[in-house]
Amino acid sequence: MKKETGVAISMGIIFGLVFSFVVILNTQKNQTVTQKQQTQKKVVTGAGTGVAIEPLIVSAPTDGVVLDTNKVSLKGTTEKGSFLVVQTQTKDLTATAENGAFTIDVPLSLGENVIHISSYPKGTGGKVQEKELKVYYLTAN
Amino acid sequence: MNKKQSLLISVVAVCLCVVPAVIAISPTLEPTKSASISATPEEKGAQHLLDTLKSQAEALQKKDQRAYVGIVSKIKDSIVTINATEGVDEKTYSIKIDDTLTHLYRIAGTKTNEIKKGDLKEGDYIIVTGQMLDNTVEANDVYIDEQFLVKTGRISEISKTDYYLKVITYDKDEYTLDIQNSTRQFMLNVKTKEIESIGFSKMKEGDSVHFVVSKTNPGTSKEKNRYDAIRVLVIPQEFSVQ
Repeated sequence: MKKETGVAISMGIIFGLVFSFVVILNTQKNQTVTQKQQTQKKVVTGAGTGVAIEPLIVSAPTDGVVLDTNKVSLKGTTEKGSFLVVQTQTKDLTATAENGAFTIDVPLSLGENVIHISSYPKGTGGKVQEKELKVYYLTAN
Repeated sequence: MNKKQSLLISVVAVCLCVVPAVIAISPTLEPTKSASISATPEEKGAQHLLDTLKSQAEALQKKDQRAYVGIVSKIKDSIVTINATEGVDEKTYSIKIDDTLTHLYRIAGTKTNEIKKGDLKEGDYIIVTGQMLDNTVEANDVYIDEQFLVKTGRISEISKTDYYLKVITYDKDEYTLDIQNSTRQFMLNVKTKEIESIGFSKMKEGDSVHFVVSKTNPGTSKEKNRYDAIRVLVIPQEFSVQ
């Protein structure tokens, strides 16, 4: 076998191994995040009921994000059938998360927007779950 | 063996390492919109890597666009000090105002009015965008805004004569809300789940209340945690126990 053939094979194997390592590492990272989210689901219990309920998780937008549009899509998950109240300084919005997931378009005011999300799960004796985000809609016009 | 054959061998070697790895992780890879139906496993893996790098770059860009928010505590020359509350932590930021590069605005409803550095005063609630360098934010834009509190709690006391509510939030903080003529009052209709406009007499102790107050303009002669309510939304107790 010639020298350049050996070099070519070695380089091919090294590149292949590096690429495989990066892909596998990235996949494992994604799996860890998913497992963490699944573990969190069993933490919250309804007041006095002892029944495990899904926690209120807001996946978007990110707290403290700066935007240049006057509305934002609020996404997340909660206990199935929960009644949601989304409140900002200018608007009250309500929705029912029939299957647990929710997407709500929230209008934004110029400047700081405090988005307060409350989830009223069914049959938990009034146990309310809350999250608060601050989103900044900034434009010079 | 010529150069062409060497190249062919190296390509085969790459495939031998990459293909098993991609096949091993392929069931866990989520399909992406950009991946075509006829994409090979190698292409899918490469696309996934590209998407990851793209989202990380976008996240870094957004991170750079963060806002620094707080109440002005000191103004000295071109440096403005703000006190910020981040969760339970109190932080202090130094903001550098450049006479030519920094733009200052006052937010008034749906408009921003450009102002001068001299218009900024202690006690103002400001939002600053810019880059943090050596513990100082090099301000691009500074906005003077109104600070609002948006909270939820349970009504613990109602004064029908003095028109106020005492509310205990789920974080155990107590607020007194003065209901003024300007206060917008709403209640959830338990049957229709629609929000309806109501009068003060409909509220009762034990109901949940979602309220908005202005921390910047709490009203005249207010003690701590007492505000004129801007808006209240009442969720009747009957709904909560359903």
